[in-house]
Amino acid sequence: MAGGQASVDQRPPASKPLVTFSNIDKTYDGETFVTRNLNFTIEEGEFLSLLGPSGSGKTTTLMMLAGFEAPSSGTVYLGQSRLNETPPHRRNIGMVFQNYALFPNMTVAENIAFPLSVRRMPKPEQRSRVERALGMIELAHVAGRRPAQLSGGQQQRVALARALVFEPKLVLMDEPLGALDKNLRETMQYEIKRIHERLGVTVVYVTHDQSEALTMSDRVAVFHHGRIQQIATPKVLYEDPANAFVANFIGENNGLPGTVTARDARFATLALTPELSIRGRAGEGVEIGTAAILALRPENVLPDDETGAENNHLRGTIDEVIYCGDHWRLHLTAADRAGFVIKVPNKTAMAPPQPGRVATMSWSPDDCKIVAADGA
Amino acid sequence: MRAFLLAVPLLIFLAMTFIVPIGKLLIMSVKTDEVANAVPRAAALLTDWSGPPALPSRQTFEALAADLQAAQDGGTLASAARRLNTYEPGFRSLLLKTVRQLPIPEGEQADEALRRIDQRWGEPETWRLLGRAAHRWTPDFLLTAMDHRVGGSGAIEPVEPSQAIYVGAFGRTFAISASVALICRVLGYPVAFLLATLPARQSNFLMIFVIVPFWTSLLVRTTAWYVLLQPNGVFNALLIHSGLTAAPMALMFNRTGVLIGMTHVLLPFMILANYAVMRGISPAYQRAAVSLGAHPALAFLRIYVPLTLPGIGTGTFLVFVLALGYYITPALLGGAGDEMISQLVALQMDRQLNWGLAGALSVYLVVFTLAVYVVFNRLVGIDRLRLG
Ligand SMILES: Nc1ncnc2c1ncn2[C@@H]1O[C@H](COP(=O)(O)OP(=O)(O)OP(=O)(O)O)[C@@H](O)[C@H]1O
Ligand SMILES: [Mg+2]
Repeated sequence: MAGGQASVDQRPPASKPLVTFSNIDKTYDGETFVTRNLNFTIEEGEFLSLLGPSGSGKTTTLMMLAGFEAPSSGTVYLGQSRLNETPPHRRNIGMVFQNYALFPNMTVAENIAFPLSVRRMPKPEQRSRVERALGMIELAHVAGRRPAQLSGGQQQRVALARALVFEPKLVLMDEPLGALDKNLRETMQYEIKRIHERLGVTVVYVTHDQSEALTMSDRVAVFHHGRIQQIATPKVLYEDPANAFVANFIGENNGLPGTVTARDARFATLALTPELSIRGRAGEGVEIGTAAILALRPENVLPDDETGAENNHLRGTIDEVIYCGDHWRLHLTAADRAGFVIKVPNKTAMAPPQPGRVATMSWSPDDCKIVAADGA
Repeated sequence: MRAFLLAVPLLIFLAMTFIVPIGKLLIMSVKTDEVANAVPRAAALLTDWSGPPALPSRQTFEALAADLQAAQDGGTLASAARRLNTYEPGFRSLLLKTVRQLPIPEGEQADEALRRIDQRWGEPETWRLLGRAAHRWTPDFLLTAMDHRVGGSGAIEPVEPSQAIYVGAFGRTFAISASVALICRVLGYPVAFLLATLPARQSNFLMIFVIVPFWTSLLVRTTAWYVLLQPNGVFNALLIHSGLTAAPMALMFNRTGVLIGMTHVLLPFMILANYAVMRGISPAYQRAAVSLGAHPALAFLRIYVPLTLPGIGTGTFLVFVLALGYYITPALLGGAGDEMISQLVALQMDRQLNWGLAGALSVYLVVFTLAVYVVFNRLVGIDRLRLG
C-alpha cells in the first residue's frame, strides 16, 4: 500500500518531479485526520486524477497544493523548493472550481484577463492572450457576455481558459464537470484532454467518477479515509488492485471473502469454504491465516468450462440473466453467496443462458488476485 | 385570484393608514376654507373687487360686519382669525377688536364704522390679504414651505431672510441623513462582513448584538444616549478619567449627539442589508481570484466589494430614507441648529395648529423621498432590496 509506508521527511530524489507530497497529515480539529501520511509525487506534464468516495480527502489535498489549507505536518515541494509557506496568490497554480467561480460582475473577456491584469501585463498583450485563449475554447463570440448569460458547458470552458491563460505549469481541477449532464461531460472530458495534450501542462484532477478518472488520466490516486490506497496507471489499478478497497471501488468485482491457506512468491490460495479454494496472484500483505478477498472481474470468467487443471473452477446457479446487447450479464449464486456476476460476450447464434441452470465457471489464476481484506 | 383576496385586508389596511393620510396631507397643503366659511358673503363680494389701490364697495364692508358677527355666534371666527394671523401678524387682534365693537350703530355707514373701529380697514392691503385668505384653494403653504410668498404685486418672491427657515431645514435634514448613511456604511460594512464570514457559532453570537438593539424601542435607545452623553455622563467620565480630555466634551445638544444617536438606531438596517447580500456570495470567488494571482486585499477590492454593491446601495438607501423622517432622536439629542424637517412639521401641527403648512412640508418630504427612491431604483434596482 502506497499510503502505508512511513518514510522520513526528505528532499525529493533527483528525478525532478514537479510536486512532491512528503508525509502530509491534515487535521481540522486536532483529532480526526482528513489526510494521513500522504507521500506521492506529481510528474511534470502528467494528468493525475484523485479518485475516491465523498469525504475521503481529495479536495483537502488539492487545497493544500493550492495553498488554501496548510498541512498539519509534512512538506509540499514544488520542484526542489519547499512550498508550505508560499501564499496561494504567489504559487502560480491555475485552478478550476466545481461551480466555475466565474466573476459575475465581469464579462467573459474580463474574467479571462483577470490573472493577466493582476500580473500587470501590458494591455495589448493581455488582449492578444485573451483572444488566443478564447480561440482555444472556441468561444470568441461570447467575449462580451456576462457569465450568467452562458450555458454550463460554456462557463466551464471559460473557467478553464481563465486558469490556463497565465500559463501556469500546474492546473488543479476540483470536480470541474460535476455540474454538467452526461453528454456534455463526455464532450468536456475530451476537450480537457485535448488541451492538456496540446499545452503539455500538468493537471491534477479531482473526481469521484471512476470512468472519468480511468479514461482521462495518466495515473490515478485512489483515496479512502484520507489515505492513498493506490496510485498507478488506470490499467494497473483495474487489473492489479493493491487492496480490497481498490478492487471493489474500481469497476465491478466478485469480492468473495475467505482465508488464506497457502502462498508462494507469486500465488496464494484462498479458502472460500473448507471444501472450496481459489488460486490467484498474491497481493501485498496476504499471509497464511489472514482474511482476504478475491479480486475477479466479471469479464474474466468463462461459463460452462471445465478444462484445464490449473484453472479455478466454481459451480454456481444462474439467478438472473440480463441482455446487454454486446454481452449477457449473469447473476449467480456461488459458494453459498448470491451476487456473483459474470459477463458473457454475445454471439448471434448463441443459445441464451437459462436461469435456474447450474454453470461451472472457470478462470485462470493469472486473471484474479487475492488481496488483503479491508482493515480500516 | 384567490391569493389576491387573501391580500385584500392588508390592502384595505394600507389604504386606510397610508394612502388616505397622505392624500389628506396633500389636500391639506393646498386647501384653506376657514376664512371662506367664516365670512362667506364678504368673500363672495371680494372676488369682484378690482383690487388696490381702490377700496372694496360699501356692501363688502356691510357683508363683512354681518359675517363677523355671525361667525362669532357660529364659533368659526377663532380658526379664521388664526388663519389670517399667519398672513399678517396682528390680523387676529384686528378681527377680535372689530367684532367686539359690532354691531354698527344705527345710522352709521358700515365702511365708516369699520374704519373708525380700526384704521387698518381703510388700507387696501388689509382687504387684499383678506381676499387672498378667503380663497378655498391656495398655493401659499407650498410657497411658505419653500421660503417664498406671493408679494403685494401678486408676483412670487422670497420671504425676508429672517423668516426663511424651511429650505435651510430641508438642507439640514438631507445633510444629517447623508452623514448618518455614510457613517453607518463605514461602520456597518465590516460588521456585516464578519457576520457573513465567521463560523456559525461566532457569527450567531455577534448577531445578537446587532439584533437586540434592533428590537429595543427607539425611545429607550435614544434616552439611553441622553444619559450616556451628558456633560457629567458615563462617556465624559470615561474620557476625563482616561486623560483624553480635561473638561467634559459637548456630546449632546449638538450635531455630534444627533449623529451618534441616529447612527446607533439605524446601523442594524445597514448591517442586515449588507449581510443579506454578503451571505449569498460564495467564498469560491475570493479563492478563485487569489488562485489567479491576486493578493487577498486586491481580490477583496476587485471581486468581493463589487459583488456587495447591491447591499451597500440597499443599506444606504434604507438608512437615508429612514433618517429623513427622524424626529425623536434629533429632538432629544440635538441643539438649536439641528432641527430636522419632521420636528418642524410636528411644531406646526401641535403648537401653531397650522396644518396647512405642516401638510406642505410633509408633501415636500414625501416628494423628495420618492425622488431618492427613483434614483436608487435606477442605480441599484428595488428588486434587490431585502433584509436578512
Ligand atoms: N473546513 C473544514 N473544517 C472541518 N472539517 C472539514 C473542513 N473541510 C473538510 N472537512 C472534512 O474533511 C473531510 C474530507 O473533506 P474533503 O472535502 O477533502 O473531501 P472530498 O474527498 O473532497 O469529498 P467530496 O467528494 O464530497 O468533495 C470530510 O470529512 C470533511 O467533513
Ligand atoms: Mg471535494
